[in-house]
Amino acid sequence: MSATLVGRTPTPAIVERLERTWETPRGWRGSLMSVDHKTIGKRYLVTAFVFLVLGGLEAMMMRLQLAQPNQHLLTPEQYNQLFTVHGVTMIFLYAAPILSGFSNYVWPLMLGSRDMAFPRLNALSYWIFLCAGIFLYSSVLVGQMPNAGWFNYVPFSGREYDPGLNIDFYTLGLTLLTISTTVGSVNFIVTLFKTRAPGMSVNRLPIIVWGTLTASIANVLALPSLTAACIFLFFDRRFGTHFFDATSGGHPLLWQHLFWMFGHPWVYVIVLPAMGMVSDILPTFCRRPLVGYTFVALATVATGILGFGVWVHHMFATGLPVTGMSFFAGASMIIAIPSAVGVFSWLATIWHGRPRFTTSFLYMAGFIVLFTIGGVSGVMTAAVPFDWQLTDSYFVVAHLHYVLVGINLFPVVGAVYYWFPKMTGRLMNETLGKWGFWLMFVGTNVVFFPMHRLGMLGMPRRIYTYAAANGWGTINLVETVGGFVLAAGVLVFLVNVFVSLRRGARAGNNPWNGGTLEWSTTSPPPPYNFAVIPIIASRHPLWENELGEGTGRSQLDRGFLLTEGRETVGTSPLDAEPDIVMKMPADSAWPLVLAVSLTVLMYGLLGESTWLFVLGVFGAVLSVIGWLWPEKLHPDETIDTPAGELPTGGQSVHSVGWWGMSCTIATEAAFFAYLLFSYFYLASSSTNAWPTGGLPKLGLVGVNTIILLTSSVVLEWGRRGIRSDRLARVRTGLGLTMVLGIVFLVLQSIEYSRKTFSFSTDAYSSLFYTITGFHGAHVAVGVLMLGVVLARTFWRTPTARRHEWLTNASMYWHFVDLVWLAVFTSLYITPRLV
Amino acid sequence: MSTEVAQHSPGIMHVFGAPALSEAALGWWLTVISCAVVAVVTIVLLAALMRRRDAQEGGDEAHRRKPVAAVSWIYVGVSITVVILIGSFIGTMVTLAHASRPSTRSPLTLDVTGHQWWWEVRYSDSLASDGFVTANEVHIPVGVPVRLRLHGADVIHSWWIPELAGKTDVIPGQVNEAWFEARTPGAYHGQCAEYCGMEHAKMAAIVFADPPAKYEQWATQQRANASVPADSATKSGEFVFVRSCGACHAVRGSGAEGRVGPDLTHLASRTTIAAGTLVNTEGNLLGWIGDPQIVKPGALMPKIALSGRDAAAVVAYLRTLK
Repeated sequence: MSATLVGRTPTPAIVERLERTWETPRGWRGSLMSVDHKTIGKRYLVTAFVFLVLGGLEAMMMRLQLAQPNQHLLTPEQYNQLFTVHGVTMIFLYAAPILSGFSNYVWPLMLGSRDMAFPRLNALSYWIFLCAGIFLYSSVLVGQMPNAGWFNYVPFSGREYDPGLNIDFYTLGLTLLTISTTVGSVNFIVTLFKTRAPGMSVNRLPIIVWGTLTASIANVLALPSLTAACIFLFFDRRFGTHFFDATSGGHPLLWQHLFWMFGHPWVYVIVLPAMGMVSDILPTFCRRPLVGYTFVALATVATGILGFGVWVHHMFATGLPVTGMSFFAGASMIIAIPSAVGVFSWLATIWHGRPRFTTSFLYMAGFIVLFTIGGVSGVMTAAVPFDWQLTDSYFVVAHLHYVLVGINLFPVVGAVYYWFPKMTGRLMNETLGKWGFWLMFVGTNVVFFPMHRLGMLGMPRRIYTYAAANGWGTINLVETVGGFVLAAGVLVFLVNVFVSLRRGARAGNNPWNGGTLEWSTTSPPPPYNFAVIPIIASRHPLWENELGEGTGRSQLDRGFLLTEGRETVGTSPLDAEPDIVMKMPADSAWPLVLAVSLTVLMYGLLGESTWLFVLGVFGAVLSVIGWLWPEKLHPDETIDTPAGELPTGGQSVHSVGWWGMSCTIATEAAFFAYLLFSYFYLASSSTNAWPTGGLPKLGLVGVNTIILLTSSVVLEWGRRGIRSDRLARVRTGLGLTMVLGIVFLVLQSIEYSRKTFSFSTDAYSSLFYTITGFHGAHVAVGVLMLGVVLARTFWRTPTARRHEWLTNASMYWHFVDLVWLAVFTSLYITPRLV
Repeated sequence: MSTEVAQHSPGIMHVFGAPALSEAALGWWLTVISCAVVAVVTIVLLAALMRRRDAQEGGDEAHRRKPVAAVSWIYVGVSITVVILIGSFIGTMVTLAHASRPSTRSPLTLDVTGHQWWWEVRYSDSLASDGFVTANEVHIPVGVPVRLRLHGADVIHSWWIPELAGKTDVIPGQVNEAWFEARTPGAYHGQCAEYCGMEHAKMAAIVFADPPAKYEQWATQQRANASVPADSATKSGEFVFVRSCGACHAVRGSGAEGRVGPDLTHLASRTTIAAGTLVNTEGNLLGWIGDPQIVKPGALMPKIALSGRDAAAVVAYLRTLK
């Protein structure tokens, strides 16, 4: 259908109106309230680079301490805090946010949209990221930075061995950060599926979009594992629960499983978008399309999926059964195959292309070497019996730095050189750029390559010093020198950024002759991105003439106008057929207020301050109300477009709200899955009696289950009333469901009061209250949601065609009921089956 | 603090025991293949960057290329990768079979308990009726597979003697099994390989592989109680020791029965103290006892206030504990 659309051309008056509608007002208020993806993207980039520098300084201090044996530049505690914070900073505060920043900036411009699907959520994810970083670093003010390593193993990170605030900063700070990352990931997923230019079908997407999409789906499913682990640890430390306490039915390895079930997918999160950047930028400088686009896109997704099946390779030395480890060894080797697809695609693209040796290109070419080194060292560690020698030694430090510096930092810096002109209108200096590249490339290899050897010479990780007798001194000294060379390269890069901002040569729209859509806008783009939403007909809209007949012809100067307030087109998920007009929100302060409130809440938990906690909750509730307050909303209208009359907002699968709720359900489902995994893991490993207090009685809980399931039926009955505009039925259904939900919660409290064990009795009890407690909290939120929807029916009548709030709240409620079925079966039925 | 431990270079490729030998064999293959892959990719990349291209490929434009020829890079590359990975996996499984248990039964079992920041080692010998306990320095007979049971007393540690075997973690709440067998006599050094707190860096262990006769001699000596003090100076040293150190340390036969710190019954037979941090000399013992926090800041051994005379007496006594 898109092939037959005929676009409309803008007039100067229309352009002027777009400018006024979309621009962010000047001044600090406008700045703090902006929801423009370009502003948010640049903020992410700057903030992440600040954390890169901080992490780098931490590394330099460690390298100085290790340069010779038996030095005393740092005390052991200082060193241990440094290596922990270095890891946390680089992995959480630099590597993922920098990719979010690029994707944020570039996606709508590449996809042909005026913004992301959820602009305010976008702002929220940035503000929470900034606040989480500040929260974590504020620990330096009390001299208690996290000090148990970036993966924070128990029992050392438990209350008994690390009693200060260090680990509480860690658990609370990371929980805050997971909110940011989850919210950001949902935004990317929904944007991808809904917010593209007509005709931008999935086989026409740049690989960075595939990479970030895969990473975002991985995030949604993996982050809850980290949240669960941090919550368990926080409870163990503060409330005396026993999740990780072997003497009371818990197990230290539960932390490792939960952490790495998050941690391994996470490492693909921090490289797949960067690999996508290489796959998009290399072709521009090779003056030809990527070889094997489909293979590379599929390989990206395959890596993301396989990434969920390898986590145990971080635990090969923990005494697990050999058969199980063999499976994970195999999976960890198989995951090299999609990586090989990428490497050969890039080599082929260069071979069959005509390279232009710009700085950006050099970084992408250098990346290929570093990627290969990091990849093969990874396969070496996948071989279980050899990993017994390699794990926890400097060999792994070498491997992880080759993959992180090589596969994240190098493409990132190359991408800065590539998109800096688009963002600022100026080119970066090529001479400085080349100096910076060579310093970084040489420095990286000098500091990290010898670490393979050091590991093979028996040097373990995370030691603040070593004996001269080991013979590790010379290699360490060489590495320290290499570290300074690498740092010099980064410094040259940063200097180049600052110098070019002021004095860089002016760039036009498309200084590199790129083929993708962002190069059709001005540099920098106007606030509305596109005066007309273009209609896309091929993978490289700007190269269609050169690529010859056979490819379609995109319409870039004519398309969808959409000028009544902030609007953009919404499309179908795969083929990008236009199906709705999306009304975009105005600038808002609520994201910032919500982010700050959540941070205040975390400080309240950290310092055990009730009033801070309450203040945070109050601020958060206020922000959510303000955010969701119905504005002078679009009524159920349709808008005339080249694709005919399109509805605003849409219903169910056409609406972004439905997609957002689906993603939320997915991440919450994953959270409960990890909670239940923990239950079954401890049930099978505990030597205590399980369950505590004997088999749980089914009477009261059976009644409660029937009540909750009935509530779903009632809600469905009520919801279907809207199909014939029977408002009374809808309202009755909503109200009755709320009543049933409240009854459920009351009966649940009675069930609690009848239990002979408390929250902190043992591992079983800790799990019981945590799992049912979180479920109860979800029910309470559901009751609130239904209440809001019910109230809204009096204000803005839902119709048969438009009732997204009702649909979304119902989806959530049914989900919560399904979770109860899983919880009930796991906690109450399975003990009877054993 | 004075003299360092003797020069040694623990490594994982130049090894002297099982299963390290089969692990190293796998490691050599993987290293060679990995280096080859990196070399090939680098050479191909350089060739691709530097190859001459015909002038008639036109100006600054994107090109259509014979798509099949270009994509065949991926087919060929992935095929080679798959073959390499299959080979690696087979090698892994074969080595795993060798490395996960010894080929013959172990007559000797060591129960190793990881503490912050030292190793407690209990011998239970199936040939003799009484076992004994020592710390940080372990003797084993050459050519005999030794079974290890690893216990966690506080946090997670990892037992790693690279020249004999890969590492196995020490995890509170479970007993991990490991094994090794020295093929050549020698002193094999290792240190804790899982971050365990402040002094993780100074938690070394040494395994001495002795010819069987020498091992028996050592084991017999270790089984015996501490030698009775011969003269009054030593006796007074013993007295100070039991009074000031006995709450945490044990010396069998002296009356000191503390189990918090390492057993010192035969301290003088060890080459190092403080988990391999210092050579076992009179000066180092004085310095360590004088203030452990200078040698290992954060160590759980407190600074015991002893007069100069008492400290010298204790050290003299300890040096008789062969």
